[in-house]
Amino acid sequence: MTNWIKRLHTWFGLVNFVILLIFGVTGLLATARRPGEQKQPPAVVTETAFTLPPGVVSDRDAADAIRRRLDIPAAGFNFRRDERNLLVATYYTPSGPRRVTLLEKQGLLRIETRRNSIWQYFSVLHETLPREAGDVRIRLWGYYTELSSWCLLGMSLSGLWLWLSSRPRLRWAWASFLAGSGAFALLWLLSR
Amino acid sequence: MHRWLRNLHLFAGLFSAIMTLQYGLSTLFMSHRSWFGEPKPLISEASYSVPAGSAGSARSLALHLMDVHGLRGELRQGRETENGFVLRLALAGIQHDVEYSRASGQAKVKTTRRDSRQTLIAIHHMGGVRFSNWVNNAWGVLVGAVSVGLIVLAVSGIYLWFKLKRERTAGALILAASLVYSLTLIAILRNA
Repeated sequence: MTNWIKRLHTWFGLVNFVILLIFGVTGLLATARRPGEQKQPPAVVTETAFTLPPGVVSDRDAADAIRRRLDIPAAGFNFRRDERNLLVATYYTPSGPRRVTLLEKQGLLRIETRRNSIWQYFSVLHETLPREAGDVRIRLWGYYTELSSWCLLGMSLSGLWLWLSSRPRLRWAWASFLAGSGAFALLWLLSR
Repeated sequence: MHRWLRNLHLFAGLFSAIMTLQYGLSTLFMSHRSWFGEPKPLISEASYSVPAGSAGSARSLALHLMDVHGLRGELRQGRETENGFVLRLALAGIQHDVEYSRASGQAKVKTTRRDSRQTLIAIHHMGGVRFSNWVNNAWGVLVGAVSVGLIVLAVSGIYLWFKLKRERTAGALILAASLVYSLTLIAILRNA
């Protein structure tokens, strides 16, 4: 049994190798960030020709048609009418938000692209889950984050088993475990 | 070297075990809300008299409520309104929404105590060490330490797996599949 748990522990870790690094980097970024700090990357504005496909009536369908036409890997989007009554849709992608204004009479799309830094990109990737699926690429990444959360649980539980079954009397191991779980328990109590 | 890395992997894993379980569980809570039903926070309301001298700003009002009435948390969203101030004091497991009226000299406090599931989700979003509340800063330190732990676990785990000769073939296949899948999507989503 312990051999199989060891094997599973190894496999969970190998499946999770990349995303564990992403989780680690994201956590370090969160630690270094000031509260409320959110740097907005500069926008690059482009325009492209666009005509709404026939049959599109609602603004939601129009925003979705724009997403498909521009091939935006959006985890989600919202839309509104601006003060000139133009449809403005904002698409949230891991590499940064894109705001698209539909200039229907001119047959144009005005696209503002803000590109996240590579660190912000990793941060957004780590929170992309399958329920936000609108695009197949996002959905595929979401499956990986979903799998990784199950693997995290599996790794933690199998790791505890392997410790207790192989080296239960190691004092430094107990000290590490009690430091981590003790800090968690104390902060949990203080936070409630 | 091998023994040293094996111990490092064990100690980093045991220190991070509870937080890793927390991240895995809270991710499932967030991605599968329908599985777990509606959260059940406890909500209570109270009203406190505040001397005019202690309510010159949202911050001085918050300090008064903390010193005299025992409210706790990080001051968030404090702003002046037509009648006085509104502010929020928040910890992972508890949140006080305060509405102060200059005319009555009363501060109405709505206290929301999150259930365990909501608290785990709030802890998942903790990060940073520049809060005014030391409990939130302590969470930030723990998040930072666990983030380093995750990176150590990923890197040392690869070494430890490679030393297991019997697991090399299966492990190499899993690692290769995981790397191809994740790195391809990372590249595609970055450049889309």
